[in-house]
Amino acid sequence: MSVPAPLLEVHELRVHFALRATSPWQRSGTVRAVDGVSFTVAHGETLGLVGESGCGKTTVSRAVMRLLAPTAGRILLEGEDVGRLRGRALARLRPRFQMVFQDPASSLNPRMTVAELLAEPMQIAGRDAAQIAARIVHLLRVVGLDPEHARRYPHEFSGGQKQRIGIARALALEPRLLVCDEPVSALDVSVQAQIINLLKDIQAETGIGCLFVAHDLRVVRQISHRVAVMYLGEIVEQAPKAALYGAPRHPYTRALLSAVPQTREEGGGERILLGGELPNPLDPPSGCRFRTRCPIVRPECAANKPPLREIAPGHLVACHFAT
Amino acid sequence: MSGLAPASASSPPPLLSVRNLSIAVEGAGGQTVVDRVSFDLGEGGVLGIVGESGCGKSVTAMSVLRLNNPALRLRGGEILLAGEDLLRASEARIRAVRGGEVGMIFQEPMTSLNPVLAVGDQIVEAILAHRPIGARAAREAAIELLGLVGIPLPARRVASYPHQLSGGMRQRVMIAMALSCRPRLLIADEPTTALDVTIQAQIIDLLRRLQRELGMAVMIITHDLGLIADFAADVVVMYAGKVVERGATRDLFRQPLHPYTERLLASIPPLDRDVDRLTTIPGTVPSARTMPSGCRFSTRCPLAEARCRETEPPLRTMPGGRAVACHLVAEGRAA
Repeated sequence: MSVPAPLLEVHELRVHFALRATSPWQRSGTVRAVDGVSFTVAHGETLGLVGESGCGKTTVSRAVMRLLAPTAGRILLEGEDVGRLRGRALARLRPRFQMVFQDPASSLNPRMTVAELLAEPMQIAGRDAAQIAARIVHLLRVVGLDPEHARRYPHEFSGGQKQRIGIARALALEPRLLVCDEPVSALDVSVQAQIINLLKDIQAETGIGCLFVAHDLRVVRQISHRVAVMYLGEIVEQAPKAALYGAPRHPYTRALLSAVPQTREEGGGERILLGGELPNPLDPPSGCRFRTRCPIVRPECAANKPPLREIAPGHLVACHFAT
Repeated sequence: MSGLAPASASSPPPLLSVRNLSIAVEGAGGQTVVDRVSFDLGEGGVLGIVGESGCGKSVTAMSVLRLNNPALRLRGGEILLAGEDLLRASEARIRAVRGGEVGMIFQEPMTSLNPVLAVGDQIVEAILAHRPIGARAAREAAIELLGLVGIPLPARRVASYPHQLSGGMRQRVMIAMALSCRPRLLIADEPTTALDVTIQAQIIDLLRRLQRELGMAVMIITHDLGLIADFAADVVVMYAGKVVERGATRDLFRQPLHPYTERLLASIPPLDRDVDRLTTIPGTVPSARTMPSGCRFSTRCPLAEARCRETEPPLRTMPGGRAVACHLVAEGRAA
């Protein structure tokens, strides 16, 4: 079986932030927000990246978008290292990877009409006016808005419609990779479902690859092909979604899934209540970073860091005791 | 079971009874944000109010303690706490009820706590405002409360400032404060929305334990249907300012009757299986300008008929205690 080059390949990505104390009572140190994360996204595939606040999932998405510079590691987009490129060389690649943000209200300029918002990226990329006008009509249709809406301003739309505009703008340059950071978490459940269906439709039509960052495990299941779970800057488990949701192996993934409130028809298994909270990222636990909250912790977890190992095809787990 | 049907003359009055509550934005022609909302909550019961943004669930909850934005005006109705109308109580009386018989916790504990006071002092303040005890006894009570809500080392944490605590711990402090006068009713407005899922599970577990141990009634307001299914015995579903359906949570989730409830439940992405397309509700909630004259859901309802757009369906109580506001359900033609 020949393996085609992935659309996105992230290898041993590290993003560290230096914290300088501004008063004698503060600590200085280094926050290892992302600490050795590797994954791939294939053409036409959606990888869900989940975890709780502070786990580093948003930092990963921002590093992939080159909104911040990685400390170490490689970010290859169709073989080109976007992690190292700068200036013009990076700008040349920009049309290939675009982002959808969490809050469409604050990511759309309120003083621009929808037509202007959609035209802007195409103007920067040097497309001509006739081409742009035709593409705006097409984009609005794709995201389920009326071409008549092009003359309106963002405040005239509901939250779900604004997110449709945000998606249309991200699609304007026909990117191969869409990075979505919590794109539906600000929306009501019925509208959320509309946006998820829309993203799936777009993927089926265009074959776009998607890195989907979210905390909502329900949403991630319905949109992703594969899922990676992060904890304190590291991936603890990564698997095709059926395996991850059906047979999670890492104790953190299990606890996370069991904590989702279940509707009656889902019934739900045993609730695993994790004690404590996320440790201070300035001072992460030795060995396995999850050990301070792990229900099956043993002494060796403090001494040895569990490597991310493959226990079934495509199913990676970082736990000494996962089988 | 708290019993949702209006109490009959012989039974004791429910702890909380909201009757025909109507609230509108100030001024002539101001939008009605809560329209003739009625429900009961019995002593020690757990009632959930669920709906999407703008449905009026928070305004309804805030009305109990008269904490609404002054631009919102009462247009009618009563809120009876053990028979006493809180909407017409004196300012002094409502201050005694707030944090006394009725405690309340909010979505974002950071904005509800005073950032320049130690958390213990804030709890002491709440205790001294309601109970005739001395400062030292109040401080001991505060430490006991922090222990009750599961804060480790409460005797030390009592001196912590809000910014030194995590989001989950801050919400525990809020709960401790709300419990300081042993309320008969706790109102929780989106208490876990700002928290991570594992911390949310801890807080809901805590609320459930306290509700059982203290025999306290809880009214929880949330957009999260899973949370309602998990925690509330009874549920009120609101849409565009109106109650569209209410009943026992178990029955309502098993067999929703109102087309809105049914679609809302169906649009929750399942956790245990994959679906090709999620069920959606087309369109968006109508605004004040576009509010239809008949059933408010008629603009998005797949079953709507001409009549639905003309006359508003009343909330009708069905056999078994379920109440539904839909013409078609009333005739046995839907769900």
